[in-house]
Amino acid sequence: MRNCLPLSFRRRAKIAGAVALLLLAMVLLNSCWDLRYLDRLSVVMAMGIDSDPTGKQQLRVTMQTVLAQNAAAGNKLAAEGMAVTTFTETGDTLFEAIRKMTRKTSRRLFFSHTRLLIIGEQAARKGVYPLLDLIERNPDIRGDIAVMIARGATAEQMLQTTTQMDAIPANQMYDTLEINESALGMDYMVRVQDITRMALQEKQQVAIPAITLEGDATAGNDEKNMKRIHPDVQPKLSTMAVLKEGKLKGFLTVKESQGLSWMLSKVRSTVMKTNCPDSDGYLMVEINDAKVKMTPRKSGDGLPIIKVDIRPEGSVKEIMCPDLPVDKETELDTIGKLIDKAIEEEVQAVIVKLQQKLKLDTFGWGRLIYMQKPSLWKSIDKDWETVYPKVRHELKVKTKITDTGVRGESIVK
Amino acid sequence: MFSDYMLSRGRKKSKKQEDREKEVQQNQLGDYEQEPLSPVLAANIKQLQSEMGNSNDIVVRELSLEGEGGSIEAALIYVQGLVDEYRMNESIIQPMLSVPFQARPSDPAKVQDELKNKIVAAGRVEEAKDWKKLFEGLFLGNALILLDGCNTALTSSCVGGERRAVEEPKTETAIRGPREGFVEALRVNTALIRRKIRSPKLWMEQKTIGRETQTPVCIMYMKGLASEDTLQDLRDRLDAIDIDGILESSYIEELITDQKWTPFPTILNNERPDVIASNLLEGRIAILVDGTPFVLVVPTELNMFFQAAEDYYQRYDVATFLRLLRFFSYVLALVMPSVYVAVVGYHQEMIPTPLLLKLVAQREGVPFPVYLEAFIMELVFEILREAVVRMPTIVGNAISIVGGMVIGQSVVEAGIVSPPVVIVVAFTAITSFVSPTYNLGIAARLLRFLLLMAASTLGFYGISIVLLLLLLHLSNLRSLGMPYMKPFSPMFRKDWKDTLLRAPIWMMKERPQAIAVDNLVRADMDTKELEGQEPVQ
Repeated sequence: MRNCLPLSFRRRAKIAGAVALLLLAMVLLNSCWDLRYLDRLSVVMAMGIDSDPTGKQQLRVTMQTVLAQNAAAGNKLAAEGMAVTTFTETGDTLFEAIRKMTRKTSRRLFFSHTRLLIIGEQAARKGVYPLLDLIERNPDIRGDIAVMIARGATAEQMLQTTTQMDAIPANQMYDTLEINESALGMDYMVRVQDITRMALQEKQQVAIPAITLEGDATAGNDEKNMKRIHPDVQPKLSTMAVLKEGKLKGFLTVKESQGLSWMLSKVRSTVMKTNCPDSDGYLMVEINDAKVKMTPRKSGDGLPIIKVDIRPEGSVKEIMCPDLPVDKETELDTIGKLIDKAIEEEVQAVIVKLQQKLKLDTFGWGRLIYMQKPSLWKSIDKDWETVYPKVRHELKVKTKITDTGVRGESIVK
Repeated sequence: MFSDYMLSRGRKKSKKQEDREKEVQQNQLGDYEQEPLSPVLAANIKQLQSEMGNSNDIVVRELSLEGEGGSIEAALIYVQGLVDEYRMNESIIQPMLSVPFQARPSDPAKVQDELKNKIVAAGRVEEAKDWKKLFEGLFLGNALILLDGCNTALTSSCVGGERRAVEEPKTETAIRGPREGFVEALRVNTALIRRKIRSPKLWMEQKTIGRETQTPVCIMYMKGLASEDTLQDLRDRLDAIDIDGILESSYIEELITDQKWTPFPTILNNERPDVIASNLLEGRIAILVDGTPFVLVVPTELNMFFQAAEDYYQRYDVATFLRLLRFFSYVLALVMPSVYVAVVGYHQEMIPTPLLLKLVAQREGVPFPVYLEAFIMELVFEILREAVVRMPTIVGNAISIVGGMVIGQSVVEAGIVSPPVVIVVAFTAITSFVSPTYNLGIAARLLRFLLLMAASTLGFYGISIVLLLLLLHLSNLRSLGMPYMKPFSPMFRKDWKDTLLRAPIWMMKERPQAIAVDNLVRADMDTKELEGQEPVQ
């Protein structure tokens, strides 16, 4: 205990004084290094990348940044005006274009809150991998930025289209994708880090959701568009785009896109339409849960067979046909079988398209075999390109209909 | 440790110090201390009056006592206001005048014995042999009886005068629990504790500290529970105190504390007898100082400063929740402004996007950088708080209105300070009031500025550096030689029952290992037996 205070009071006071002086020096000399003033930042919500249409340079980069004073609702000081603005510059690299923007921006572009990257169709055909390096390399930019491909419009147009539901267009597009993924499952979110991971694993091709403009694409960059009940133009989610080695190869149809979601187990909730068993009209089943399992197996001829097992669970939510006694247990099984068929159709469609026509391993079958049947993979590793289209699959869907909603019998007679 | 410091001061005596010591000695009233009284009554009275500069609150009542063999001159001396004059009349003056003494007047010592043993009807009559004892007795509120021809005096107790009654404590109120609080009178305070612990093992030691104030200071502890080493350490430290006055227990606190350079209190003070009693039962030592309702407790742990008396009077689940809330809000009070400054100044990527946009919009056009803003507002708040505390209540209201209007509204509306800073400062202020002990709250107030400085220069990096240093500092602190961070460091796992959580009382069967040396068993009952009782049909 006596050794706790070996120094005299005076010495201690001196040391404390010196430390205080040093602290003061630290505070005064480093002058708030790396301090960023919040009101000197311009928050970039979305980036858009197109090929330079003039052809002089490689890229035409658009930044959608927030005008916070307009965007924050309920702010008394808010002036009338748009919530966002865009800056566009060309450059051979992204960074070049971004730095060129300092000729126009009075504030520093701040990328930490960027949530959306839109890549123009043409730029995507040239390859998306080079466009992602900046995002992955730079610590200030998040890796969980959602990537979309602009279909039928340039990324610049997409970002310059005013939206009604959300004053910030980037948010509207991002949220649309999120809602679609959770409620329909036609598209699913793909983030920069997902693409990077798949690119590094080299065994699975990437699919990226596409977005398009519905309406007059040129009318978007106007306040009027926002102030109409039905806007002249609004962004609309398209289907998934498939890529090969980072280069855009094509777009799926709605059916195929849905099938891809099924295959990759991205479906959380969706609706399936089917004909009524014994009459005209349709009925809808809402799928609440789906378990998807793909297992590879070696067949007699040495080629792999992929067993796809899909087990959705859902309830009948809409009946538009007469005389359907849904209160009968057997009827539910019948409906379940019909739903099986509907899902099978979607899945078959996408397998035909990707495996047979485009020869793209977007399902990750190669990776699946590599992970689960390494010996089999070793034998086909070298000529996977040629083996892949020949891989057979066994598709098995077994839907369980749990209930028919809060109504039993339908009023449709 | 304390004696170390005294020694190191003594070792290197400069000329200046020697001069000072001489001066101190001259100022001391010690000259008469060992001086005996004169046998002549008139001489004694004269000396007493001249020593005290004929102060007119000293009453000298000269009496002539009748005895069977003749009369003897006597004097009754007391300080007006310190004695209960009615009781003095009843128990001292009346018997002395009406009951004749039997001894011969030529033998005053015998007369004095008779007075002491037979005639004077006061509870405590003692003989004062020198001037020091005489003055001590006089100023403690005793009446002195001097006899002619006797070179000693009698001090008979009849302490009285105006004192505050036992009231509900102002600093720590509890919704459930005893309502009484300590008062300024030492005897009342010791009695309040005795009324809680009716045990012969509750021991008391009294010392008189303060050259001029001669303040009675009392150490209370449970014999067999309190560590003898700690007790001896405390006695040494108290004996080493040499100061002219002890006006409040804070003097003692500051003089015996282990580390002088710390914002954290290492000695607990409280005005609730129940809190002191519970600490005594844990094996801690209480220091009572006359003239203040605040009783000190040593040794302490940081943890104790988060415990409120009420924790033990409410259900354990509720008490645990409240205690967690208290810890949480203390941390908030400490770091909230600095975290805000760090996040807004350095780590904007951490803020959820909608909130960031709101903040950017709010900061639009605000002239000061965020750290300056926070500094100014914190400072303004501290000034306001200080002003309100020192002002009379009536004026205080006016200040809070002006403060609320100026700061809460005008500053924001004028766009000089952004609203989030006001929110942060206001919320921090509220959280800082949650701490049950006032002096721990003050520590947070000071450290907040340090953290703010670190945050405004280095962001989170700075905050974590300061917090780390703080942790080191806390682990180094000692309270009367005992580690301050007990039972976390060093670790006493069994004592954790009463730290962040408050375990049910039937689970805390043992005293804190860290304090009580042996005799750990607090409750010796089988709780299963209690639970298993059949309901009465």
